[in-house]
This record gives sequence, C-alpha cells and structure tokens, in this order.
Amino acid sequence: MHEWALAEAVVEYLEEKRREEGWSNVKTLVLGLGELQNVDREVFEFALKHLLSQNEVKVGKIILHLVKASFKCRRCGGSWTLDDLNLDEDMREAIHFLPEAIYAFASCPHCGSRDYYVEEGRGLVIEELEVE
Amino acid sequence: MRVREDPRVTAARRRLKEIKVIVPVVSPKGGVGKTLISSMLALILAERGLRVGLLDLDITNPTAHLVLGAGTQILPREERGVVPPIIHGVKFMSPAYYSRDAPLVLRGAGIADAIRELLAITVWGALDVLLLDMPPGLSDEMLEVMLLSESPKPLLVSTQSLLSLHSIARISKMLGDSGISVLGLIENMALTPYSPFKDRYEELGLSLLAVLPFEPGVEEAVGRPGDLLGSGIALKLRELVAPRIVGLA
Repeated sequence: MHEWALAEAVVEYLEEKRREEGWSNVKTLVLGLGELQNVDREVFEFALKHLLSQNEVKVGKIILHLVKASFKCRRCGGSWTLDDLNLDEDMREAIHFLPEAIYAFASCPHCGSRDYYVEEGRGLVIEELEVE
Repeated sequence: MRVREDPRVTAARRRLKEIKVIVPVVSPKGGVGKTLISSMLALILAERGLRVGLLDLDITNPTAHLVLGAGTQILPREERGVVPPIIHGVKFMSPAYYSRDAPLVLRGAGIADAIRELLAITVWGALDVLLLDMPPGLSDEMLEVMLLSESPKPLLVSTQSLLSLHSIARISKMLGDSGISVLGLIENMALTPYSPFKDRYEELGLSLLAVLPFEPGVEEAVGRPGDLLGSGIALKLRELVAPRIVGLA
C-alpha cells in the first residue's frame, strides 16, 4: 500500500532527526493528514506502529488528525473546499497518489482559473515533535 | 515543539541513494530532443542488461510515455509505495499516470511538491541507472534534483546554435559552481557532422560525447521502441554515449 511509503518516510525522518539532534525518544508525535491526499488512516497508523516497533526510535504518543483541504484562487481571490468540487473516483484515486493531480481535474469554481493553491490539507505533515 | 516539517525529503533522498548513477538529461532550450534521447538511452542501457529506470520530471508537460508507447493505462502497482511498470525493460515513472494526460498547470511550489511526492513513494528497487527526463532550462525541477540526490551526473543536450551555446555556458557554470560534474554533452539535430563549438566546449570543460544528425525517420518511430532502437541516432547513442554511463554504473 502507498500508505506504507508515507509511514516509512515519517520513520526515516525521525531517525535522521535523532542522529542530527542527539535526543533519545519521542514523547509525542503529531501528524497532520491532509484531506486532499485521502490517506487511509487505519492502514497508515498500522504501518507506522509496525515500522516503529522494529526501529530504535521509540514514540510514546502518536496523534493523527485530519486537516480539511482548502483552496484559494490567485486570480479572483475565491476560496473553496473539496466538497465544492465534483471529482469522480478515478480522479480521487489519482490525487491520492499525487495530490498535484488536482490541478489537472479542477479549476476555481468561481472564475474557472487553474491558478490556485492549496491553503491547507494537501498531504502528510509532521506538525509537532516533542522529544526527550 | 511545533515543527511543521516534510518527511518526504528524507524518504526521497534515501531512495535515490540506492541508485548507482542518476543522469538528469538537461538542455537550455526546449525542443532539442531531451525526451527522445533520455528514452532511447534508457532502452539501450536496458538492452545491455542494466537495471534502468526512467522518470519523466517534465511535471507540467510529460511526454516520455508517448516516446515509449507506454500510454497511461498501465498504472504503477501499489506495494509499500508505488512500483513503476516495466516498459521494454525500463522501469518507467511519469506524472502522466496521475494527471491522466490532462494539462497540469503548476507554479514552482507545486512542481517541487509533485517531485518530492513521486520520489518519496516510487519504489525503484535496485537500479544501476536512473535517467531523468528534465524540462528545458534551470528551474524548480533541476533544483529539486540537486537538493535530493547526492551526485547527479547531468547529460547536456544542445543544438548547433549560438543561443544554445550561450545557454550551455550558463548551465555549465551553475552546475560547476554547485560542485556537480557533467557527464558530457550531446549536440542533437546537427546540421554538420563536426561541431562548430568544439573548442568552446573544451574551454568550458565539457566533453562532447556525440553529434547526432537530424533524422526525419525518428519522428515516425515515436511510440515504437523497437523502431527507435533501430535508428541511426540509437546506433550513435549505443556506441558513443551508453558506454560512458555503463562505466559509471
């Protein structure tokens, strides 16, 4: 599953930070899961816990929260969310793997421009890291 | 502490470290044949038994799938990431799989995001060579490659034009200043079999690997890898350029 690659990325990030900064363990790890990428939360969480169980980096508490996707048009200044778009399953699947694919399928619902940006909720982000 | 960091950079770097040689195929101007050359080199190296990948990094305008006749129907397989389909012996990855070949309008930040995503999730496995079909010029795509891979070996493609020569000098300086050594340079669509700029390339420290003539029949072979491999250009790439890459792998 693609979620495994994202979980691997988090674990590799923690390993690298530990080497660079010299801390021992993570007390709390807060991850934001962007709505646009539509990661399967259960699969991702399972993969992350499994990979961490085989790793030297120990994480006390993992908090995952969904970040609602929002978009803003550079041309007209309009804002919208995923709920305002009409994306079929095929498009959603493509966006799941490559969130930027949304620019191929959707334009600003207010003025039709493709020159917009994802304000929040694109994909996986490490939001907080409390270490000891 | 609040960090708001992107774990994909670490993952992309790790995956690229597992590849012996990374060759971005770069040119100062568009329409000089980068996609044809990178695709044909990938096919030639695979033919020689190397484990080869080709990644189309022309994010907003990918066309390598058309050269390989790959279409976008056979999608990468999900297995702890995404595993690229093998097209004529080449592991081939492209944003076109996901954009469904529709126009993908992106500014710089979006391009960087797309590249990081692709490099973080693509499972290449053990590769001897990864060729990168780059968009023209020096911009976000090349900066991302330089950020994420330790020692890429760019292959420059140019034409026998003074403007291209000027731009090649710029690219060469930028890469040299960044500590990146260039694999060499190919003159494509040449009007004469001998480069008029040979001395200038030497002054720039660039190795001219091949002068490829304009070959009208190649256009008709686009989408048919077997025919591409039988072209005169393929013969020259096989003799003059492929051994240089094999030597690094």
